[in-house]
Formats: sequence, structure tokens, C-alpha cells
Amino acid sequence: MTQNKKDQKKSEADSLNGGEKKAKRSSLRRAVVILAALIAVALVFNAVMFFVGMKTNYLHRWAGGQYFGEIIEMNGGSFVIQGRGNERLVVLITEQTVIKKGTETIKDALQVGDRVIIFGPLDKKGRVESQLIRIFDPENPADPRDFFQPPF
Amino acid sequence: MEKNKILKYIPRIMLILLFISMSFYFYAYSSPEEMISFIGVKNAYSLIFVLAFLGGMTTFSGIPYHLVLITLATGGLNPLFLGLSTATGVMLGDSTSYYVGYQGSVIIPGALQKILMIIRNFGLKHPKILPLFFFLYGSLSPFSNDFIVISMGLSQYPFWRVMVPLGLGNLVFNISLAYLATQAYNLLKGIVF
Repeated sequence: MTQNKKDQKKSEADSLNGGEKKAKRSSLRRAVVILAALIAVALVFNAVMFFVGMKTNYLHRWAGGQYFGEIIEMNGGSFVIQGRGNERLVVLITEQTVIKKGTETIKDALQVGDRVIIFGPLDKKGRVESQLIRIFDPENPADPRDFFQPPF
Repeated sequence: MEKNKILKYIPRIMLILLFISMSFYFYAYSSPEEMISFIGVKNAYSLIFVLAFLGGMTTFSGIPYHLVLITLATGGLNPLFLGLSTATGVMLGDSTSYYVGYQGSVIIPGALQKILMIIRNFGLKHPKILPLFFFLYGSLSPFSNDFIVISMGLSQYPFWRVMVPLGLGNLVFNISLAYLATQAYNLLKGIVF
């Protein structure tokens, strides 16, 4: 009689464990399905946005010629910048070039040591025909103290 | 009664329309020259911060600030600070997208609301799984976070549980991209452009 009761309890416990395991497995399956669905929708959505961006030339507009570096040499009507490597780039200043520092548009303010970002296409000789030059503060821009300056 | 309901939701609808039209404007007309000419900063980290903020704030179209990040990193800026300022900017911007989604949660169709509720309840029941997914998405995916933040806003999933892991993921992604750019600019140019 006692043995029967023990067996019954054991079988109940086994059945409970089995139920828990089943519930866990079902929950895991649901988690996988939900995450897979989220990833799939996110990927499809972003792929569509990327395709539209390529088709409408939006991404190309942003990927056009842009260069950043330090001015290492000034010549009349042009200057030379150097980036992280040893590669140097000649930048031409034309009448159409707009030079900005902060909110102001300025002229003849470029100096050796300035860090600048330049926009413009390359000519056949590999020089940048600058359309926009923005001058950043001459201090070392890797200094964390500069990081907290107000943006405007 | 119906009229009152519409009047009640007008401010929310206006807010959503404002974000959509702003995003459309950026998508249709923005160019890096115009943006960088307009953002009157004297510090390159502030520049990428503002660009990333605008990129995060604009819904769906965004501004491909990653390309400027690559340019700045190869130009000699500190990749760690670049990644940090970019991730901070984009997460602040994405917070507005979350807010727009949150505001829109009351006006979405019932069927969509039902699906979002399933995800929300699942996330609340298993509090580690979705944040881990957000972190992985942020750190591995070069795509916009809008889909994630807007859908989580719509489902009213807790703000910090989305933003903290997604922000950390974005931090990893942007620092890695800046470091990668310093190491392999020519290779990257071949792939991206």
C-alpha cells in the first residue's frame, strides 16, 4: 500500500517535471520565433531603406568627396593636408569655395596647423577642387576637454 | 464622442506628422556640404555628435553619419572619442523616435497592437532576452535603430531597457568602425562606396 503511494507520488512528480520541461521548451521555441521574426523584419525593412537610398542616389550624395586632415603647407590658391597616414592631398581654393569657421563665413583665414574638413570632387590630377572648407579649432581635437564645448 | 476622441489625439498626430515630414525633408534635400555648413561648430567631435543626433532624430531616412565618422577617423581624430560622441548623439536622437512611437501607440490599429503586446509581454516575462538582442543589434548592425526604437515605443516597452543596451551596442559599433577606418580606409572605401 505504502509502496503504491510512493509510486503514485513519483509518477506525479515525473509528470510535473515533464510538464515543466514541456512549458520551458515551448517558451524557448516562442522566444526563438519572436527574435527570428524581429530580426527578419528589421533586416527586410533596412534592406528596403538601403535599396531606396541607392536608387535615389541619397547614399552617393553623402559618400561624395569629403576629406579631413591637418594643413601642413600653404601655397597661393592651394594648400596641402595630411591625415592619419603619410598620404598628402592638395586642395585647391577657387572662387566658389566657401570657408566656414563656427557660424561665420571667412576668407584668407587658413593657417598651417588648422584641422579642416573639405568637400569637393577630385580633378584629373588627384587634387581636391574644394567647395566647402570648415575649420576646426587649432588645438589638439583629441583633447577630451574640447569634447564638451557647446555645439552652437 | 468620436469627434472628441479625434480632437484628443490631434497633438499626437501632429507630432508624428512633424517627425515624418522632417525626415522626408532631410531625405530629399540634405547633403553633407549643407549640413556641415549649417552646423556651426568649431570642434570636430561636436560636429559628429550633432550629425549623429540629427541622424537618430530623423525617422527612417536618417543621415548617414557613419561616412563622416570614417572621414574624421582617417583624418587623425581619436577613434574612442569619435565613437563615444557618435553613440551619445545617435542615442539622444533615437530617444525622440522612441517618444514618437510611444505617442503613436494609442492610434495604431488593434491587430498591430496585439502583435506588439505579445513582444512586450514576452520581453517583460524574460527580462534578459530582448536587451541582449538590442545590444547585439546595436553592436553588429550598421543599419538605423529606428525600427527597434519605434516598435518598442509603440509597444510601450520600458525606455531604459531599450536604450541602455542599444546605446552600449552602438558605442561598440561606432568605436569599432572608427578603429577599423583608421586601419583599413582604402578597403572600407571599396566596400561602402
